[in-house]
Amino acid sequence: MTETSIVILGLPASGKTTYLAALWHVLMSRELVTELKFDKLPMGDVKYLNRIAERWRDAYVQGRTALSGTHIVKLLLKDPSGEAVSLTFPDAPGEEFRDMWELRQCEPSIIEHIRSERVVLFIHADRIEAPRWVVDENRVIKRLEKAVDQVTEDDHSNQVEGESDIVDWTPKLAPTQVQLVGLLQLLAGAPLTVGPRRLAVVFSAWDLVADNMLTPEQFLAVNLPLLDQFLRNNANFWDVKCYGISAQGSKYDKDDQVTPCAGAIKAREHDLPSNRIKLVDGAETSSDLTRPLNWLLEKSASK
Amino acid sequence: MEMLPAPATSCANPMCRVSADGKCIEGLQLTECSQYGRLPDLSGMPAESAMEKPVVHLPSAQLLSVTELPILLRASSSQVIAIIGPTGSGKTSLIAAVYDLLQLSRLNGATYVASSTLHAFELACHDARAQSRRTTPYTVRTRRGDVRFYHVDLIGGVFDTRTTLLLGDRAGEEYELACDDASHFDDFAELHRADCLTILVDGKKLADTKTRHNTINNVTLTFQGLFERPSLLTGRRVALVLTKWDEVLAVEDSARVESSFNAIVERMNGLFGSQATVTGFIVAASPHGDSVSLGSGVSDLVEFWSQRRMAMAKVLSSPNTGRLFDHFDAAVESVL
Repeated sequence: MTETSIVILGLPASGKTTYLAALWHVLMSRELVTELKFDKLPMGDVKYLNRIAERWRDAYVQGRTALSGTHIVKLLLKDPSGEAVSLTFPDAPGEEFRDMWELRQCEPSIIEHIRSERVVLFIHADRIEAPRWVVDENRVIKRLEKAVDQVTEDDHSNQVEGESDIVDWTPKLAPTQVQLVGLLQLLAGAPLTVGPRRLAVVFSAWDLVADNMLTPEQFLAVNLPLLDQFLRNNANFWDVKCYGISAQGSKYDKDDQVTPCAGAIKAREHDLPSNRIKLVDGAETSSDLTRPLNWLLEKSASK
Repeated sequence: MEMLPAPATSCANPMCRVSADGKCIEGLQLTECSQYGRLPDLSGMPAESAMEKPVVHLPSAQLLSVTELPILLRASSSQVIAIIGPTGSGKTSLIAAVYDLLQLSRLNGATYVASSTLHAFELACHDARAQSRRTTPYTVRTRRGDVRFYHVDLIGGVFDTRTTLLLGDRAGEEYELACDDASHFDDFAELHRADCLTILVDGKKLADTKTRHNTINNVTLTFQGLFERPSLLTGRRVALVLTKWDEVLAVEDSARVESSFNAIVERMNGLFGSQATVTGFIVAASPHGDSVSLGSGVSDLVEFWSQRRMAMAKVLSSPNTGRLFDHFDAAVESVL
């Protein structure tokens, strides 16, 4: 049996846990044909996987991993040739990775978790914070004010910037692409480097941006140009493939939701929950969430 | 006993500081967050504070000191750019514009490879960004002290190989001291190693009739001080940069300002051309309005920075200069 670990990387609320929940359902249910197939239950407790998969099937939003800490997930699978494969990956809170960028530190246990040559980087496709400039915002405000003034004849020309309004810089305010580049640079240098790595970039909530008609690679170049430049220019270190994944297909209910939302209702209507899932790989579309993992396994990133 | 309702500013996520800053730690709207308004469950948390947990420290992303440069200079082809000018002339804004143009893929084909000063770049850009909640773009003043460097590796466009760009940023007050006493230039370590000197001329002050003559005089003082220190000027490319072009365009006679600037360039070449060739540039690094785009003119300046040092053979053949790199190490030692 081949034993492999995979790093699951992503900022908070980037969709890591939702992916794992849907993945566990797809593997266990065997509703679909997948590249990697379920082999047997791992030794020990699968409570975490079962709980998150239950919430996924019931169309409820996942709880924050920050509250429950890191969970080590182990899957016993078969690869396309029928060989047994054991995959281990930690579902760590996104806050751990954000602290690496912001505070320039991490816990020793996280270092062990990110030592693999195989990395999945989750990016929530609809929550990318791009850099925005004061002059651009002012332009928009002026247009809006002009439209309002035409109706109300108010004068907005004497607005003064109050000192209490100004926000001081913290690393958390950096654009998404900068935080991700910063994170990947840390993984490529001491003390975290393990040499060249294979990187599956997964854009989660892909359904929310699918109307752009872009492939995941094009989406990366258009919406995260600095990250795109970094990955292209460091191709000797990062072997990259991009995917768009919608593991939910729609919005799910929160725990305290009284009236189910339309997305949750729609999700529950599928006779096969796996049919909620969409994965985009270049020009191909499927529901096979194992494709990024199989690609990571296909050959080692190191020479 | 009746349970009191959780305060509206609480959050079930113990790491969230919404009660202090009013913001969701996940970046969600408060109405979207399923934890907001609930009390955190601390029953499983250890009694010790988080500060006592062991941590592994990772490389800083702040500005680099002079002593941190040699390792970068040895690693790849490099360009050290000394950026000097009076307080408020736009040194840090210029550096921020280079970085922001990279973020937008608008640096004439030059693309990002790496940087060890990402936090520093972001801090430099912050007050011109919408997240600062400012209504006018602003750049925080560089603190006094020794020169600090921003670092970015570029490739593509005019950078046919991976090139380490080190941009030296020094407080304007120290430049002003050097205008009054040119011996201070000897302490500017970045000048000793610079592949290109970039001297800024405040466009807003050049456009103002009350300040334009002193602005021009300061340029002459700078060049004279450098001219009398041949090791600092000889063989180096010099960019003379008119900043705040958007503010120049806002005055009635911007053409006169441009003509005045071109005359300064010509005069400097006339007076000091035996040691260095001065090339003029006009930029608007962080425009306040719509008259010019963000970073206008900066790409041309970066292309100039990319050029290899002219007359390198002439410098190397001069007595007592030694290898350029050794020169920098000596300069580092002298200021430590």
